[in-house]
Amino acid sequence: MSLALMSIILLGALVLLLALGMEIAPAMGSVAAFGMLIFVGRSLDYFPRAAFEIMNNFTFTAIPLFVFMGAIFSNTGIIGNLFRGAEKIFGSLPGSMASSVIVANAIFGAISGSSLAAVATFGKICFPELEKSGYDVKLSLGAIAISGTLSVLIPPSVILIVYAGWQDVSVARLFAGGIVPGIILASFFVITITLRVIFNRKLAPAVARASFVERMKAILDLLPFLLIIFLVLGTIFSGIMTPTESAALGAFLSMVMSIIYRRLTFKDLINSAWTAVTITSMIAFVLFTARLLGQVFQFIGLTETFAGFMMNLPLSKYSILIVISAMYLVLGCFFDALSMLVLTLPFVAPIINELGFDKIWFGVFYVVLAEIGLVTPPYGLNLFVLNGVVPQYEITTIFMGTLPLLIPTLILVILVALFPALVLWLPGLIY
Amino acid sequence: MERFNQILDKIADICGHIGAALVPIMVVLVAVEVFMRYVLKNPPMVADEFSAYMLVALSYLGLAYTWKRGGHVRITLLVSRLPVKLAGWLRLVVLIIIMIFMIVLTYLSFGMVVYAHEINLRSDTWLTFPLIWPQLTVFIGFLMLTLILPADIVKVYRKIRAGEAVEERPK
Repeated sequence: MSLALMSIILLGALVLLLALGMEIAPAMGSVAAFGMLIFVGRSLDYFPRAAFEIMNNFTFTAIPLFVFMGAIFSNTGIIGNLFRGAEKIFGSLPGSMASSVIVANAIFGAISGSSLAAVATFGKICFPELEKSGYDVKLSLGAIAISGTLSVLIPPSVILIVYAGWQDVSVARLFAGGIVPGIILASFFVITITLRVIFNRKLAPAVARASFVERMKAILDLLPFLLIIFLVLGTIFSGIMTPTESAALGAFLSMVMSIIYRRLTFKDLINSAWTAVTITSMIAFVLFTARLLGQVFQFIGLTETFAGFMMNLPLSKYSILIVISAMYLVLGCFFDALSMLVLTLPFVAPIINELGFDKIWFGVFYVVLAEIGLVTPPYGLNLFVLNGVVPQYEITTIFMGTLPLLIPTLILVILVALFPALVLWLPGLIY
Repeated sequence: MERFNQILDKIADICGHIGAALVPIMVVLVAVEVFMRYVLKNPPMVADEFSAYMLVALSYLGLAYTWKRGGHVRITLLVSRLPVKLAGWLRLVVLIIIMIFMIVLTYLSFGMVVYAHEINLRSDTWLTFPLIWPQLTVFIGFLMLTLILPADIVKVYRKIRAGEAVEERPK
């Protein structure tokens, strides 16, 4: 059978199963099993060994630990302090409360790797306060939904850990690569909100400036969070600890901090561990079946042929990058960031390597692109999660609030493409 | 039948709870390794290997538990807009395909465990840990997911018969 026909059957079957609502992992696994038996002609004996081998990986052990750490902070509600602290510090800016959501999320992003946890928690804590203060509903919901995406860019990030394990690159360098774009993006969000409020005063109430003492107190409130971030990321970047060890340190410190704040209950601890299990199980199943499908594509020669086809197109290096970016922007509307990464990487990674793009740079670039998918319908996960928290507002309302904040993200995509040093400068400085 | 499903549900929950218990154990294990490395200057050098085995265990033992909570990502954009009955039948077909896939995986993973037992398969580190134990968690995880699927299939079939929606409808 020709490669074209095999590819059409396999990709067609995958698209069909996904459209029929099959869970992404078993959909990839079923198609991989079919392809392996019918087209490759090999037995499936390797499948369970692949399941074992893919997760028997020390790099990936950081995933449940970082998720656990973030879950402790969100389940205990401690991160509400972040929002209130940031609000006092940025109180003089127009629309300061909405900007505080961004800043608090950026800090939370540095202690959690999951954007969904960020959106759910900040939605619960911040939206009622924003609504009560008279902030425009769309502005508030947009700020919460988009700022959740910072968690996947600002380290620690689960997606970056998966990318590192998949591409065999340093997690520490990838984490370092996400910092500068993360800070730039958070700043862009704050600037966008401030400008919108300056030009349309109806979006937010007049600011009530906090006193000097209040602001100093707010800084003190933020200090424990900043200390944990410094310890977790500092030990990774200095090479003192591996990302997994730092994740364990962070998880331990999150428990200690919750105990000091008298917020940790046994139920919170159990719920946080369950969150870690469900997210890790989902990731493991997707990683395992994506690996199988990737191998089937490799065996039938599809990945090699596709890479060859792309390289032979009469397009420049950057034109191919634009094609790949456009593909991710479209796919992001339908897939979550993880599934999209593991599904496309077998095809995209050889092209990126062949074109001479840095692997670390591409990992961060991918995450910035995937962030857009988190807030674009019909499958923007952050929109759904926030809609679950505030069911009185429709997804379209949340998306309309998010739309103006997508402009800074697109600007960042262009900046990262034009100036790779934004990503690569910091990784070059660490050990 | 109901009683049997309840027991399976309970076992799936227990597997999830075991997975959850492994998370703080991993934290402690890695923390002890770091403490012994930097403070006592005598690291036991076991955290890397054991935490990876624990990751395998919590990942697969949690499969059924995650399934029950709808934690495995899927796209319902199309099916949620189809007529209720058609969407129900399609879900039934999809669940049967998943069950067949899981039966195959469970069977093959049992073979993997048997093989590990027969040749006394061990890790190639200094611990030479018997790999049958972490591999057994892969088998148990697949088995539990396979066992809870028929209950889901029956549930969907009953909903179809009763004319109820299987998929959440868009607002």
